[in-house]
Amino acid sequence: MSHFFPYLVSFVTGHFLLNLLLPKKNPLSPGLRFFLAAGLGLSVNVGLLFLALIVMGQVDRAWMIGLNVGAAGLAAALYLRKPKEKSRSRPPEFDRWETAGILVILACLGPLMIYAQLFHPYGGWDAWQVWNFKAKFLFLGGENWQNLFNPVLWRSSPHYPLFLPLVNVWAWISVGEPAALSTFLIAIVFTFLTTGLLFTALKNLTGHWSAIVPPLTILSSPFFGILATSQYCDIVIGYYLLAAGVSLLLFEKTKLNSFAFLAGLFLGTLTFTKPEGAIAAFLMAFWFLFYKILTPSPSKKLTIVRFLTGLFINALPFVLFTWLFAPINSTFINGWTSASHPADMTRLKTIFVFFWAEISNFKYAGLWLTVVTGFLVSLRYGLRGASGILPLFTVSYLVVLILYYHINTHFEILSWMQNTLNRLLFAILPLLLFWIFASMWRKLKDA
Amino acid sequence: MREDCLSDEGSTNGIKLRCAVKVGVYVALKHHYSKIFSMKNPLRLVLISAFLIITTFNIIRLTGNILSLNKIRKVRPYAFYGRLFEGITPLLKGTQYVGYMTDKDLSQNAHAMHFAQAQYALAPVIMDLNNANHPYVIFDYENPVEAVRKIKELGLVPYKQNAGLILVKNP
Repeated sequence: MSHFFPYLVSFVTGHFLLNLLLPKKNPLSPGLRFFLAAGLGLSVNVGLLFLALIVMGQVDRAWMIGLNVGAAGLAAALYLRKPKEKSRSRPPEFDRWETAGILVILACLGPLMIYAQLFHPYGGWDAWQVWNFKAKFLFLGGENWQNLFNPVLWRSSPHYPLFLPLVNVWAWISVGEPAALSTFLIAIVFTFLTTGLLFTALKNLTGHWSAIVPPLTILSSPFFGILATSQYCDIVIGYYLLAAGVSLLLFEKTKLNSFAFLAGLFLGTLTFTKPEGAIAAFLMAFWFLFYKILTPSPSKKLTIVRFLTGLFINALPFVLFTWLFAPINSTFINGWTSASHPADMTRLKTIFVFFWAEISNFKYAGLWLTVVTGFLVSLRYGLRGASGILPLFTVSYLVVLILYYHINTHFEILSWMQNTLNRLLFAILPLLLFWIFASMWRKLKDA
Repeated sequence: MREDCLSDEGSTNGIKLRCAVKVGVYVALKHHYSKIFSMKNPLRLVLISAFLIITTFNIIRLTGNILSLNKIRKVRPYAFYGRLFEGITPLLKGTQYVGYMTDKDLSQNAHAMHFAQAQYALAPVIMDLNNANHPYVIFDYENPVEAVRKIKELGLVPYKQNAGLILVKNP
């Protein structure tokens, strides 16, 4: 089967589910629908693969393909049985500017793919030590797949959730072997989905041509290109974080509870990506619930119930993983209580100095300095309603990261931050750009 | 300009058409640029300019990086160390663990990377570092004489040699 088969199945699943969830009268353009549907479908397929893995005890190609194709068929059947809505208004049709923007993004992926193939065709270090490595255990390990939790493999962070390894398995199932091309394509697909979602969501919310600028800026950045194609989980976190943020702003704009449910689904998926993803999902959910509880609204309870339902459905793989399989994190020492590895003030100072050194690094060509400035400026415009959740989330997420860097003294702080901070920042960059541009330009359309 | 065109009542159809086009373009541009360069919020202009400058700079850098890397790869192709282990992989089918003996210092970045790539190539077989008690053991030594000496010392039986690696059996 082709390399593209799993993406087709996932897109079909996501497309019908999205149409099933949303009323006919919704403001999503075809492009935005495409980018949300693809990620939604992948999250559903990975969730099903994980449940099948638990039930069957090993990866079974035929069963798993059947399961996911069946899920796509079921979603299509449910959609076709959905009662027809009597609505005069038609959903937005193809916009030639949106199509042109998506084509520009696709064209930008060409040089990025060449660069990545020249730089690291097998991805970065963690690709072969963590993500693709675990996928090989799942795919080739048969009923011994749980050997990936063996303490001997502590370098591979056995406590990390399995979303990306299962996406790899989903791709490998289709081609029948653990092909390096499949994992490379997954990185490219998520880069396309993230930048495409960023563009279409901004275009949808602001209606302004400037929506194409943030995706172009990050796609043209050599450093972003390296991180995006390194076959790490950070681009996946970037996508689902952005998808959740977009859904929340669409909820604010339309007051449709379906978007709260969708945001819950994306945040649920985020929990199964990486511990940072779980922290991010928890924080964003917290701020959304906080906002909803404080805001007077007649359908407040229904919104909260829908949001939490979505969250719990897609967080189920994470709950099962943590409950049944996840070993204890062996790379953690509580520096606040440890006498041998204490967390002192020097460590805290180093963290702040390194943060500054990172965002002002030449490799970003001033991007982070511009983003920080844009963030501060946008606070004037983007704190109204649900969009205020996004800056609150960003600040609280960074505070939690700083605290974690401080408390966990297992690693020497400088080398640890050198290896990880750029990835953490990379994962929140699309969401930050989305919020800054949406806040600065949204008034144009509202006016 | 718009007023001039509109007051041009006695003109021919051609001139009227040209005027209409001019007015259309003027109105469209005025409408469009008033959106972009809205003086109500000059920060938009500053922000978009900053992003466009960064993008231009990025494009130049990315192009330069691709060209220089392409030159390097022609002389020195990308090497994935794990590929050396591919000859051994079929022999370990059905095995869950393999011992891995080495004289390399794994605290060094390059050696640690090679170890990770080797482990990836052999997965789902787990490489047990410095443990020769498994049925199969891989010797990955920089000094082959030292490897042979160690194999003899441990009483192991050489089974296959592949690209500087020695797979031995534990009798």
